[in-house]
Amino acid sequence: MNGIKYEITGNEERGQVTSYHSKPSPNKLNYGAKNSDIAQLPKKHKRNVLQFGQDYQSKFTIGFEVEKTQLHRNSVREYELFCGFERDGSCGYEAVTHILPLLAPSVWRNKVYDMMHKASKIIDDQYSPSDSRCGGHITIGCDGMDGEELLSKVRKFSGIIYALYKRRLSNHYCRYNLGMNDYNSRWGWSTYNNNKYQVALDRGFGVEFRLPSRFTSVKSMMRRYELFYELVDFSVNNPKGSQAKFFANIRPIVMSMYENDSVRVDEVFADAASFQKMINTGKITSDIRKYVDPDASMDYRWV
Amino acid sequence: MNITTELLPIEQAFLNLPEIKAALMTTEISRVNKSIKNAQKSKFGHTLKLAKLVVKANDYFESTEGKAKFAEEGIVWTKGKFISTFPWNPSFYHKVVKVGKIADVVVELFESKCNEAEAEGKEVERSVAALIKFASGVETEINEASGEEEITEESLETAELAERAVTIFTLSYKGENGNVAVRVEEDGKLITTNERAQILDAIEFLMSKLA
Repeated sequence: MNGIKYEITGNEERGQVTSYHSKPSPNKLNYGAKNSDIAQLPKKHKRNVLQFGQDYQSKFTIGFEVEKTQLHRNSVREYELFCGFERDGSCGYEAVTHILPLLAPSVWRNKVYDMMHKASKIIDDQYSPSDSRCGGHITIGCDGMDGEELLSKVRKFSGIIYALYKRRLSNHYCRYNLGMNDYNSRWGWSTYNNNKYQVALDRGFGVEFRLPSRFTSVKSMMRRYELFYELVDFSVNNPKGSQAKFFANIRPIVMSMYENDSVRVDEVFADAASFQKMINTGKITSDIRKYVDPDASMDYRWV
Repeated sequence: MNITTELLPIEQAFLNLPEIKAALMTTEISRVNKSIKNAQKSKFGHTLKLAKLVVKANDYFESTEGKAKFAEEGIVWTKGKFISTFPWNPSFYHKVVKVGKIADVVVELFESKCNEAEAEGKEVERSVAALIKFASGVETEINEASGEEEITEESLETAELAERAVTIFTLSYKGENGNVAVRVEEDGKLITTNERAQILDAIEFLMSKLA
């Protein structure tokens, strides 16, 4: 097969469960694609691929943290997808991906999805179970932008992330800085404004969305990958675009997430609009109060 | 034994001598040749069945339902990639699809003609290529009978030749998916009878040589 090849490194540590924050560093897998990997990309998506001689690099990157209560026996080994495994205090275990290219549908993306497919015994709950203590952090990056700049762009369209994972807004580990603001503008539980347990955290090199729930299947990982591609692409390349246009772009993905239940999807988008209003203005509408302000401590923000 | 060349009566009588028949193995050759013919007939019959199945697979790949399923599973394939999953070269694939789309009545007519020719001792080609050619001829007759002018690749090109403006770009490629010919005229008009997927394959081939 032509083009970029994703292979294991042979580093034994990548196939072992290490203690917290002791796993090997992730490799950057968004470099080194060839022309055959991106040749069929439509022009509007080719702008998200940078060329260096005969090699290509994705402008956007993504990384996943897969938290599980147990890992399937005999399945802890090095995978092309993961930089390593570590113990996680909140849930049990965590498998962290390398820095992946974040791409539109293409031959290159097929290869990224193939890595997910090969790691199904870690990702799929039927093999490696998870529960509500587990999360599914997603970190995004954009070439030429630091975390602060990227956060300022994606916050304009992140209401959908809140809507999809609204039940996690009661989780202490991911509910702060509800407005996705910079340090001086943060609101919501003000005594904790400088902590890391934010909905979306500026990591310096990118933005870590801590709100998404646990990964239960390879397909759910694919759908989130596709959703975050649209989010980053729209936020970076079409910052003045309308919410309606963005919602239209992501509707097929959300429909797939909800097994084509258009009634439920309409509810999700209605919530997304309310959450986006909250992010933009700090105002909390009645339909989302129970998720963001269950104890009415921010009733001054109610509308 | 059916003979492809004309023989004088004396020559035919010579061949029918028992001693000559035995020496030239004419009976055995005739029997084996008949077996080959039957096998070809049987193979052609299987190919017709295959064609119907391949058309269904092809239609699924191009359908809305098929595209949605591919997307759901995270798979992005060009038509060329899809064709490569079958155990034949792309040229045969395209011929088989063409055969699968030929109306049953035309196929029956073709087989009937073959049977008649065989009964007359003539050599007959029961093949995908022969059926396609036969079907093309039948369609031309039908169109002519209905008074419509058949728009063939040849007539299209002829008409275009008559009015051709200055060509500023041409692309010609003998690929696995079939021949690709693309022309862009100075007024920006794109002239081709190829599918978009075939043209993209040609461009990908060119890019791979430039890389």
